[in-house]
Formats: sequence, structure tokens, C-alpha cells
Amino acid sequence: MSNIIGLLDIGRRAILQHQTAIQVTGHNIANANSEGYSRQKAVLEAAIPISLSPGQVGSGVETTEIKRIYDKFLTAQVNSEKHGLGRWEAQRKGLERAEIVFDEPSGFGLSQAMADFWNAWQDLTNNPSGHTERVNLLAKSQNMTSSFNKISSDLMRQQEDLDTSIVGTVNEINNITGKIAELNQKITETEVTGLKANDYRDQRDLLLKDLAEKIDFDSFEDNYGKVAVFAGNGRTLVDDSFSWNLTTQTNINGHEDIMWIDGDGNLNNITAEIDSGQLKGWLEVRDVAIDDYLTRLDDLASTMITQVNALHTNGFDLNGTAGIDYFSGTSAFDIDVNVNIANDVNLIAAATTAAGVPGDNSNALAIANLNNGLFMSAGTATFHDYYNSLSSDVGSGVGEAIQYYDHQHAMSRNVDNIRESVSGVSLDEEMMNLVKFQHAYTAAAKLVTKVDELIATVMDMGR
Amino acid sequence: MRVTSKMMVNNINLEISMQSELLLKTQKVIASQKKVQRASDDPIAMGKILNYRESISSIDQYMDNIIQGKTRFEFSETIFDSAMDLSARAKNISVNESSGTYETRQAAAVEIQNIRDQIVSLANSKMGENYLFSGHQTDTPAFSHHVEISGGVAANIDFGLAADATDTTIDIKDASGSVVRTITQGDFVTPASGGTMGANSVVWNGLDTWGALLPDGSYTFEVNSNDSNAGVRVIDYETYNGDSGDIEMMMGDGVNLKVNVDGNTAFTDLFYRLSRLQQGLEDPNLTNGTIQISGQVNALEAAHDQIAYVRSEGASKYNRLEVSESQYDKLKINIQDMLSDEEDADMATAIMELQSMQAAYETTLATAAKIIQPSLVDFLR
Repeated sequence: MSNIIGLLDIGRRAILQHQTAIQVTGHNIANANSEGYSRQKAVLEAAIPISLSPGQVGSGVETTEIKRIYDKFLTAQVNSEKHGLGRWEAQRKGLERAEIVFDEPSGFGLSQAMADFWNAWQDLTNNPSGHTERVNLLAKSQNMTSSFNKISSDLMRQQEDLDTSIVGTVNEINNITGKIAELNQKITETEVTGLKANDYRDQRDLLLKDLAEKIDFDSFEDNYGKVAVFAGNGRTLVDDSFSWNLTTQTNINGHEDIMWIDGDGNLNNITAEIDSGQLKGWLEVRDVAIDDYLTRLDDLASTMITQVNALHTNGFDLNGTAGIDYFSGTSAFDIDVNVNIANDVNLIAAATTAAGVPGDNSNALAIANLNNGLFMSAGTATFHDYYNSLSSDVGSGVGEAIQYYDHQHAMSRNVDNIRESVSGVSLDEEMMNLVKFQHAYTAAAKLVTKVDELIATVMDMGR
Repeated sequence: MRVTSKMMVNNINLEISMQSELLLKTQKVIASQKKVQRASDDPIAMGKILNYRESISSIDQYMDNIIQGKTRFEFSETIFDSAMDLSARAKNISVNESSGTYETRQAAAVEIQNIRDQIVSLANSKMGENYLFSGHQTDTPAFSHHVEISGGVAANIDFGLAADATDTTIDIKDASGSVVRTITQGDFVTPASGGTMGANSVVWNGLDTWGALLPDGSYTFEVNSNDSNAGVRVIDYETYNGDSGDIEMMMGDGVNLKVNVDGNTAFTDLFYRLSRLQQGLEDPNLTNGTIQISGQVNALEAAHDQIAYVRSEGASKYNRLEVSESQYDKLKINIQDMLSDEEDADMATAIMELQSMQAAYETTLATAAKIIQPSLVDFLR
């Protein structure tokens, strides 16, 4: 036997559930462009039927859950690609900046400055007592030493800038892990009551994606909905509703190492344990690439200093006194023309014997010939060859980073697209849903009106 | 596959951004006309470019050096040419005057004096600030009566005499021409006599007439020499003041070329012979004079040939420089071609690429506009 009030109930439920469904659709539409949003779906199912004598009679619709459409394996893949993307983007940008410092294509780089320097010595051989030639040699020498200084200090400053970026990122990481821990708490509390914390989960996923770009980690979710995050060699960043912080510490080279603070408050150096993410990119540029460039540049400068000074101190200047050091300094950073020579170009020692002054140009000849000497790479390369291979390597490094970045970018994009395909909001779809639910809502309202008429008829029957 | 509007927008953004990046790059290539904008565009090409540039710079410098070397040889050539003319004339005089009279000989003596003065000034030629024939002593004239003192160290006064003398006086003068010291017979340590034929050297301790040390610097001197037995004056001549240093220039990697001629080799003997000739011409005793004069004929011929010899050495070095110069010219052109190959953009190709990229870009934009605009919202009532 059916129940007329039951009919009303069916109508009431239908209206309310469809209202909920429209609310979920509205939420989707509102969040169509929200970063990291996964579309939600109100799952409408037939309610528990009532057993009556002719058979089971349905009792309407109920919403069993509001489901979040997402693929957790995809999420893991997205994060994994983000590690690589963060690393190669950071590495590419860092190396490109270093490449600009060398400035070779313009023709005004160190290569040209060195060539001009050796040429100026040859000019001196043609007129060893000439004032103009000496002044010119001084100018070209200072030009070259300034180029060395500038490249060296620019690279060092870039290393400092990378340190600043690293410190900033470490702070951001701590921020993110703190928030993830909080969300862990909120999600557990909400889901313990049986409700799905869809929006919180979206927020947490977004935070994890952000974190993935910065540092590589492993994560997994336990049965209570909590996500644990591990970085480096199993260093816990987030577990349950607690987070562990990272910090930085200056190492013996004057740069920042990345430290993990464990439960007892001890600092553990995890710099070598980081394999990917922006932090790795910056560390590679700072500690591997730029260090290598600086070492090679210093090698070049110090060999030049040694060789030129050795010949110069063997010679005699225009006053007939023995030559002093031509260059002061020991590395690319501080190489400079001896200040005494800068003040008095007569101190440039072009002659090999005191008696040979002023016409003897043989010392200047010997120094000019250093250009052809094999002093670099254990006696196999000239100064020019050595510098050439250095600037080639700078170029190749950038080229390689660009290739890796492009590849990683494409991979990341593909995975993002797939995720979007699964979890993204399609406005067309939501429009259809809106129409669908609206029709059902209208029909349900009609049902209620009809039942109302039925009840009125029944009331009339009793009179 | 389910496609959301966000996917389409993201994709279009990415494609537009990639295409505009390519457009920007092509535009930079056209503006700078260089294919290689950064080392990373093509590291191998960059390496070659740097090598070619260095080669060109090197070649330019060597060519510079060569031009300077050639100028020096050209200059020396004209000097030797004049010197040869003068010494040939002197030899003719010696031939003629072997049988000359007293009057002709006196006239000839004056002419020889002039010839000597001219050749001295040729030998003391300067190029720019530097004396050409003084070896390393490029700030000192090659042949002059000239002594330098410094720090109270005794210096040698070097001069030549055309014959043995019985008394010789040397007046040492400072820059203004006033005599600061006179050295006479009695001050000579060697030679014990008044001077011998040929080169002589007297030591001077740098003290002036009153025994005070003179300031460092260079001083000129004048020699007055006589043979009282024959009753004639003895001609003095300038000896070589420079050294035997070589001046080399770089004409290639590790290739040096000596460019100077040592004045001693070229001129010393000539001056000696010319002064002997003059001595003979001035000799009032015609018989002795004839012996002296005719004795110089062959020697002057030899001195003349000596100059010819250094001149032809210079000529062959000059040729060598010219050959190098033309080789470098050709080499430079080749290297510039190779550099241009690596470095320069082919404008036609670049502009065509730009145009096709522009077309692609515009197509992408138009397509994007068509795709992202309509959605179901527009079509529902």
C-alpha cells in the first residue's frame, strides 16, 4: 500500500537533492579557473526501497556522497615531473646568466682583450723606447685585467645571488610543509566524521605540487588521510600533523649548505642528498658549473701572471734598472698591472741587458712570444686555446640545460593536460548538468503540485 | 579524451609563446646579421669563430710589423745609396789626385772634408726618435765626438786619427758649447805619444778644469792634433759610439727577423780611409802625399763594396717581408671568408624564415580566437 504523504516525501527529497546537485555544479563553475581544483560530482542514487506486498517500491533519491574526481597516480606523476622541471629551469636560467658574463659573440669579450694585449707587446718591439707604444701597452693591459676582474666578480656575485635564492626557497619550503601539516590535521578531523574533505585535499595537493618544484621528495598517504613527506635520504618533512624544518648554514667556501633539523634539534647536512627540484638546479650551477669556470679563469690568469712576470723581472726598463713584476695579484679576481708601472711606463722592461737600453727589444719580443707558448693544460694548450675551450664549455652547458628543460617542460605539460582532462572543469559539461538538474527540479516541483491536488481530492471525499 | 576549456587555453598560450620566442630570435638574427647570438646557440661554431678572430687579429699585427720593417729597410736603402755615390766620388778623387798638383789637391781636400761630413750625417740618420745605425744605443748618434759620464765612473774618449801625431789636445765641451776641460799630452795615459794612426782611446775621470766632478750627462769634444815633425795637422775622425746589438721584429709565430745594420760594419773603415785620403791631400810634401793618396784607392773600393754588401742584405730581407706580406693578405681573406661562413646570417634565408613564421603566428592567433570563444553558454536560452 502506498502512502500519499510518502509521495510528498519523494517530491521533497527530489527537490532538495537536485538543489544540492545544482549547488555542486555551481561550485564547479565558480572554480573552473582555480589552480589545482578537482571537479566534484554529487552522486545521486536511488534511496532504500520500502518492501510492500506487490514488491519493493522506491522511495526517491538521495545523495550518497559528493565525489572528487581525481586520479592519485596522476598526482604522483605530476609531482615527479615537477621535480625535474624545477631543477632544469633553475639550472638553465643560472647558466644563461653566467653565459652573458662571458659576452663573446659581441667581440668585446676577454678573448679580444687578450689578443689586443699580446699585440700591444708586438707594437712595443717595433719601437721599444717609444712613449706612445708604452702608454698603449699599459692601456691594453689594464683593459685585459679589468675584463678578468669583471668576469670573476660577476660570477662570484651570481653565486651570492644563488645563495640568496636558496635561503629564500628554504623558508618557503618550511612555510609549505607547515601548511601541509595543518591540512593533514583538518582533513583527518573532517573525514573522521565520514565526510570527504574535497577542497582541503585540493589545497593540499596544490601545496605538494608547489613543494615538488622546489625540492624532490617522496610522499604517501596513510589510511587516515594523512600525507607524509620525506626528502633527501629519508628525512621527514611532514608526518601526521607535524612538520620538520630546513635551514641553511654557511660552509667553508662561504656558500650556503642546506640543513635538516631533526627531532633533537641537531643540524644534518643534506646538501648532497638533494637530487632534483630548484634547489638542486641552483646547487649545480653554484657549486659545479660556476666553481669550474672560476677555477679555470683563475688558472689562466695566474699562469699569465707567472710567465709574464718571470720574463719581465729578467729584463731592464728604460732607466736601465732591472724590471719589477709586471702584474700584481694572483688570480682572475685581483689581477692588475703593477701600480708602479701604471704610474711610470718607463718601468716597462723591453730590454734583456742594461747596456742594451734603449734600443734592445728582445725582452719585449720574448714576452710577445708567450702568446704562442704552450703553458696551459699541462703544456698542451696556449692561453687562447684554453680560454676558447672554457667559453665553448659555457655554451655547451647552457645548450644542454636548454635541451633538458625543453624535454622536461613538454613532459610536465603532457601530464598536466592529462590531469586536467580527468579533473578539470568543462563549462560545456556543467552547462548540460545545469539543464539536466533544472529539468528534474521542475518535474519534481510539478510532482509536489500534483500530489497536493491529490490530497485536496482526498479531503473532498470525506464531506 | 575529455577536453576542458582550461586545457585549450593553456595549449594556445604555450604555442603562441613558443612562436613569439622564435619570431624574436629570428628578428635578432636579422638585426645583428649574425647567426650565432649566444655561445649556446652553437658552441662548436662559437669556438671556431673565436679561433678565426684571433687568427685575423694576429695576422693584422704581423702585417703592421712588416710594414714598419719595410719602411726601415726602404729608408736604409736610400741612405746606403747616397753613401755609395759619395764614396765612389771619393775613390775617383783619390785616383785623380794620385798625380795631382798642390792646388788641385787642396781643392780636393776640401771636397773630401765635405764628403766626410755628409756621410757622417747619413750614418747618424734617425727614424722617428731612434738612431738607425747605433745598434741598441738608439738614443746615441752612431758616429760623433761624444762621451757620457755618470756617477763619477771614468769614461773612454774614443776618436780616430789619420796619422801618427806628436801632440793632441782634446777640448771637452758641455751642451752650451763652453769648454769644461782640456786634456793634453800630459794627461794621456795611453798612448804615451800624442796619438797613433787609427783608433785611439783616452780615459777621462769626469773632472773639470778645477778638479770638480761634472754632472752626469753627455758631452761633446773637439780634437786638435798635430804632427810637429812633418809640420802638418792630423785629421781626426769620429769612431763608432753604438753597440753591436741586434734589433729584431716579429714577422710570424716564433719567426724573428733582424732589421738593423750595425754602423760599425758599414762605415768605420770608410771614415778611416777618407780621413787618410784627406791627410794625404793636405800633405805639403807632394811625394809623401802621393804615396798616401794612392794607397787609399783599393781600400776605398773595398769600403764602397762593404756598403753595397749591407745594402743588398737589406734588399733581400725586404723581399722576404714582401713575400710574407702578400701571403698574409691572401690568408687573411681566406680566414675572413671562413669566419663569415660561421658567423654571418644569410639574410635571404633569415627573412624568408621570418615571413613564414609570421604567417604561422598569425594563423595560430586566428585559430585561437575561433576556438576559445564559443561555449555552450552562448547557445542556451
